[in-house]
Amino acid sequence: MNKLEFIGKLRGKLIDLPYEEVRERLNFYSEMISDRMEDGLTEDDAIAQIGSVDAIASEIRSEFLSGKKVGVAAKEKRHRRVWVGVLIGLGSPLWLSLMIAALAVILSLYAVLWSVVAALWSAVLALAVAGVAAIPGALIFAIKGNPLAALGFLGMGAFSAGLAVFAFYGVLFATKWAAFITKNAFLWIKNKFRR
Amino acid sequence: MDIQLKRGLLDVCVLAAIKNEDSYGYKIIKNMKPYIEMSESTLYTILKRLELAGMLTVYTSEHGGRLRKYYHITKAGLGRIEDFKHEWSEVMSIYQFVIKEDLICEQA
Repeated sequence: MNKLEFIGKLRGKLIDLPYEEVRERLNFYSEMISDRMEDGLTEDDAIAQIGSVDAIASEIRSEFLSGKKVGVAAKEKRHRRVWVGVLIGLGSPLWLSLMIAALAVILSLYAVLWSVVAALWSAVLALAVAGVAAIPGALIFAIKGNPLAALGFLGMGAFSAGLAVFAFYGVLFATKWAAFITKNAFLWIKNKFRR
Repeated sequence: MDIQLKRGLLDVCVLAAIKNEDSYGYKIIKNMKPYIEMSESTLYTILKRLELAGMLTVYTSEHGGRLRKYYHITKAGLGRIEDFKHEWSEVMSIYQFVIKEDLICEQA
């Protein structure tokens, strides 16, 4: 078999592959054979050293296909991304309004939680003020000559102040708990959107 | 040998073959022969890959009445060889450690 026959047979085995790619590879092998002949080998020996037509053809085929698989996988990934984008766009009237509604609910829950906390703090403040206000009130009663009323007032004031102190710690705890809940809810929502 | 490792090593081998002067397909295989056997199709794949990675350039030149493809190493290709040399000294250190541990085990 001479070089031309060898290359011709090789091309025959790879007839189903794209011509340009095959031609490049065939030129490469042709060159190899010629170089070997130049080195002193006979045509037959040069061809023999290259390998059999079948072996080379299957090598070329598998190398070409593995190169192609990488390209196809990359292309498929791109295509999938495009489809996902299209579906999201098409469905947006639905999921967008649902998301807005959900956000509105969450925000109102948030508002309710914090207004309750605000109310609790005002209660603490009221108790404290009542405790403090009892002093001038008691003084007025004392000056007006009503010691019992003054004492009663002071007592109630002390009671109110004490209640305020307890309430303070209670509401502080409730506030910290509310802040904790808020932060975790926010993180939970953020995680849902991580993909 | 692990196939990924071999591929990386053969890449550097080919680059080294064209480091000091431009070379062509058969000459590369001949130069490497005392050290490692490489088939034509393997070489083709490697040359293509190195070209795509910008580690070498290709040009054709007339030789004895026909066209021959020559391969020329680029700066990136030279960098890859240097990287390999650094990586390899690390591999050697690890190898020294591994056999040292082996020897200790045998003595014990």
